[in-house]
Amino acid sequence: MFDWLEFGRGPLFRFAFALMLLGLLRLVVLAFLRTRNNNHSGAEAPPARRGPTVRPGALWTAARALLLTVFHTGLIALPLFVAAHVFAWRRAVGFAWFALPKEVSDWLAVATVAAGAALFLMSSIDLARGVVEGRRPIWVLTLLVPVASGYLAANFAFQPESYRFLMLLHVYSGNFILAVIPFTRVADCVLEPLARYVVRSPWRPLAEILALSITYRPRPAPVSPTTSAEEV
Amino acid sequence: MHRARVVKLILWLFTGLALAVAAGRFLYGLGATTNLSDATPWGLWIGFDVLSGVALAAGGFIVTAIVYIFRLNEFRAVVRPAVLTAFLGYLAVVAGLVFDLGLPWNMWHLIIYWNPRSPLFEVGWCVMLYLTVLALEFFPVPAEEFSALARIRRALLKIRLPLVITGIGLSTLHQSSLGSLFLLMPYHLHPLWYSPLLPVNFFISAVGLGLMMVMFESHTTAWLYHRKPETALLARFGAGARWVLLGYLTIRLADLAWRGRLPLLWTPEWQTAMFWFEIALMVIVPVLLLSIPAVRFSRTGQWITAGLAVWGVVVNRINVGGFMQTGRGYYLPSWTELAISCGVVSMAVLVFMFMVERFRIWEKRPADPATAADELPEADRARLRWLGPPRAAAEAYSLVFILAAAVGFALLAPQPAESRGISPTPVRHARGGEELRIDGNLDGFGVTFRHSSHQEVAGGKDSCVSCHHMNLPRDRNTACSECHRDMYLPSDAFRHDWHASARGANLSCVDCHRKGALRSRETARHCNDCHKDLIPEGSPIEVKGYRAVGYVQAMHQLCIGCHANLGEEMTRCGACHQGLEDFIDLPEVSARRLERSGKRVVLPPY
Repeated sequence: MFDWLEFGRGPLFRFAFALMLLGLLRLVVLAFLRTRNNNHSGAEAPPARRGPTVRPGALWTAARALLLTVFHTGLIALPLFVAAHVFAWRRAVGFAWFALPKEVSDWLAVATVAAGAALFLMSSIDLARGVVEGRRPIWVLTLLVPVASGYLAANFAFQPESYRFLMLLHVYSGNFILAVIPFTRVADCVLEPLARYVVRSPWRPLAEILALSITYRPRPAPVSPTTSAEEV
Repeated sequence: MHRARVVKLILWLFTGLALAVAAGRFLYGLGATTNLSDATPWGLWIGFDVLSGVALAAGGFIVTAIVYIFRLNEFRAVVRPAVLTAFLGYLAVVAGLVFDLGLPWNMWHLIIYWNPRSPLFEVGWCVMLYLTVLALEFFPVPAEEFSALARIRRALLKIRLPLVITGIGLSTLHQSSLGSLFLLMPYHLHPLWYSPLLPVNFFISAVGLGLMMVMFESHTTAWLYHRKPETALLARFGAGARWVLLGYLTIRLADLAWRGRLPLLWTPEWQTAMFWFEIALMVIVPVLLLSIPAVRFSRTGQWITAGLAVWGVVVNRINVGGFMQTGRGYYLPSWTELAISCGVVSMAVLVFMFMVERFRIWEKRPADPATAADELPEADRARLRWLGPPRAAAEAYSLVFILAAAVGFALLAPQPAESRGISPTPVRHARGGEELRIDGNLDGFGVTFRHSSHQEVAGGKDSCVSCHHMNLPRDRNTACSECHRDMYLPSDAFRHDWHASARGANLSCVDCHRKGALRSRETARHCNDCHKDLIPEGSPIEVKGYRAVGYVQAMHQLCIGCHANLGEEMTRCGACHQGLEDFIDLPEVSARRLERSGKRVVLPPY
C-alpha cells in the first residue's frame, strides 16, 4: 500500500496536475481559435454566468449563495493552503507559500463538506422540481471525497492501516479530479472565476475567450468528403 | 484517418513529451535530464540536433547553387522545399544548442563579446548569419500570400543572387568548422574518426547528404500528400551523390592508411563495428544501390537509398559528437535526451507540414523573377479537403499533445533545482622523499617525481625555490599539499581560523588588525612582518595572495611550465600519470579507485 501511496503522490500527481493545467490552457486556446475562425464577437459569446436562475424565494437564494461561497472557497483554499499540501509543494517545486493554521483548515474542511452536502441536497430538490436543467450534482459529491478523506486522515486515523487507506483514497480521488477537470464541467470552477475577474479588467477580449472556453466542448467532426487519393 | 493526420498525431505526441523534458531541463539543469558528465560533456544533442541538423540542411545551399548560379532551371521544382528544409534544419540546430547550452537569455553575448580564436565563435556566427540568409531567401514564399508584403518580396527577389552566394560561403565555412571543433581533441576522439581532415570530411559528407536529403524529403512529402514526386529529376541528384559519397569514402580510407590506422579496421572492438555500420549505411549500400539504374530511377529505390544515406550521416555525426570518445567509459543518452531530440525534429516537421499546406512550396511552373517579379508561381498545393475540418484536427492534436506532456512530467524524477557544484576533495600528501609519488586523490594513477634529476637540470640545491615558492614558518621545503589542500577548489593558504584559534597561533584580533579600524585584509599586518622566511628569495613564482589554487591546477601549471617542450606528448594524460601498483594493496586506494571507476573517470590507457 505504501508503494501505491508514493506512486499517487509522485508520478501520478505530476501527471494529473500537468494534465489539468495544460488541459485548461487547451480549452482557452481552442476557444481562441474558434473565435478567430468564426469571427466570434463578444456579443455572441455565451454568458459566463450560468446556473440556477429561478429561485423559490429570497431566503433560498441567500442560503444557496452562502453555501456556494463556502464550498468554492474550500475547494480552492484547501489544496493550496493546507500545511501538508504546502510542504508537498515545497518538496516538489522547491518553493512554497504560507499555510493555514491547522484549526482553520480543519474547520474549513468541515464547512466545505457540509456546504457540499447541502448543495447536493438543494440541487436534488431543484431537479425534482424541474427548476434547474442539465445539472449533475453527483460531481459535488465526487469533489467532496478528497476533502473528507483528507480531513479524516489528519484527525481521526489512529492506526497506520486506516491512515494509509484514507490517504490512498485522498490522493487518488484528488488526482482523479485534477485529471478530469479539463474534460468535464468541473473546469468551470477554474475558468469561470477567472473570466469574472478578467471581465472587470481592461482585458476584455481575453474575458470573452475565457467565457467561451467555459462552454467549449470538443464535438465530433462532421463526416469528411470521401475523396480518394487518386481523385486529388 | 488520412496518413498526414496520423503522422501529425505522432509528431504532436513527441512534441508534448519534449515540452515536459524541456521544462525539467531548464528547471533542474543538464545533470538531472541527461547522462552527460564532466568527462563526456557533449552527447546526443550536439551529435544529432546540432551536427546532423547542420548536415541535413546542406541541401539548401546545394540546390540554390544549382538553380540560381549554374542556371539549371529544371531543378527549380525542388528549390523551395530544399530552402525550407534548410531553414527548419538550422532552427532545429538553434533549438538543440539552446537545450545543450542553457541560458538562452545570454545568447546575444556572442555578438558583443568576441573571441575570434574560438572555433565555437565561428560556428555561432555562421549559424546566426546563415539562419538570417535562409530566412531572407525563404521569406518571399509566405509573402506571396499577403499583398501588404509585396514590396518587401520584390526587394528580396532582387537581391536573391547575392543572398545565395553569401549562403553558400557561410554554409561551406560552417560545415567545415564543425569538423574543426573536433581537431581540438585528438586523444578524446577514437582514431577511426579523428583525423586532421575532419573539416574536409564534414564538408564532403554534407554535400552528399544534402543531395540525398532533398531526395528523401521529396519522396516523403509525396507519400504524405499523395503527390507525384520528381523521380526523374531526383535520379540526377542520385547520380551526383554517388560520386560525392565515393569520393568521401576514398578520402577517409586514404587518410586512415596515411596515418597508419588501417589495422584498426579489423580490430574486434565495438567501435570498429560502429565504423563499418556507419560506412555501410552512409556510403557502401547507397552507392551500390544508386549504381543500379532500375533502383536509381524507381521511386521506392530512391526513397530507401536516400533514407539509408541520411541515417548513415546522422550516425556518423552522433559518433563524432559523443559516442566515440575513448578512455571515458561509455555514454548512452538518457530517454530525456532522446525525447528532446525527437521533439525538436517533430516540431520542425510539423512546421514544414504547416508550410506546405498553407503556402506555395511546390512549384509546378517556374516563374522567372528577373523578368516578372510580381508573377506568382503556379503551385501544386496539396488539396486538403480530405484532411478533414481543421477544428477537429486541432482538438485531436492538442489532446495528444497535453496527454504526452503530462506523461512526460510524470516520468521526470523530481530533482533539486540547484547545482550540486564541485564536492570538496581533500588532497593527500605525496609519499616518499628523494622519489616522490604524487597521487593527491589516491585513485591509483599518480606521477613519479625525482628530486635529484630535477635539481640537476634546474641548477643544484639552490634551485629548490623553483618549486617551493612559499613555506611554512621555519621550514624550507614545505609540501605543496600544505597550501593547495583541495584537488579542485581553491584553499585558504593563510588559514585565518588557525591563527585565531587557541589551539593554533592563539592571536587576538588586534595582534594583526589595527585597533578601531574595519577588520579586513587591507587593515591587517602583512604576513612577512612576523614570518620573515615565508617566501624564499629568488623564487620565480610570485605569490599574489593567499588564496591557493586547486592542487590539480597548481601541479599542472608547475610541471607543464617546464615540460612544455615535449609538445604533443604533454597532451596525453598517460605520459605522466601512471598506475602506482605498489600502493594498490592499500584498502583506501582500492576503495577510491572503485569509486572513481564507478563515476567513469579514468585515465586514457595510452
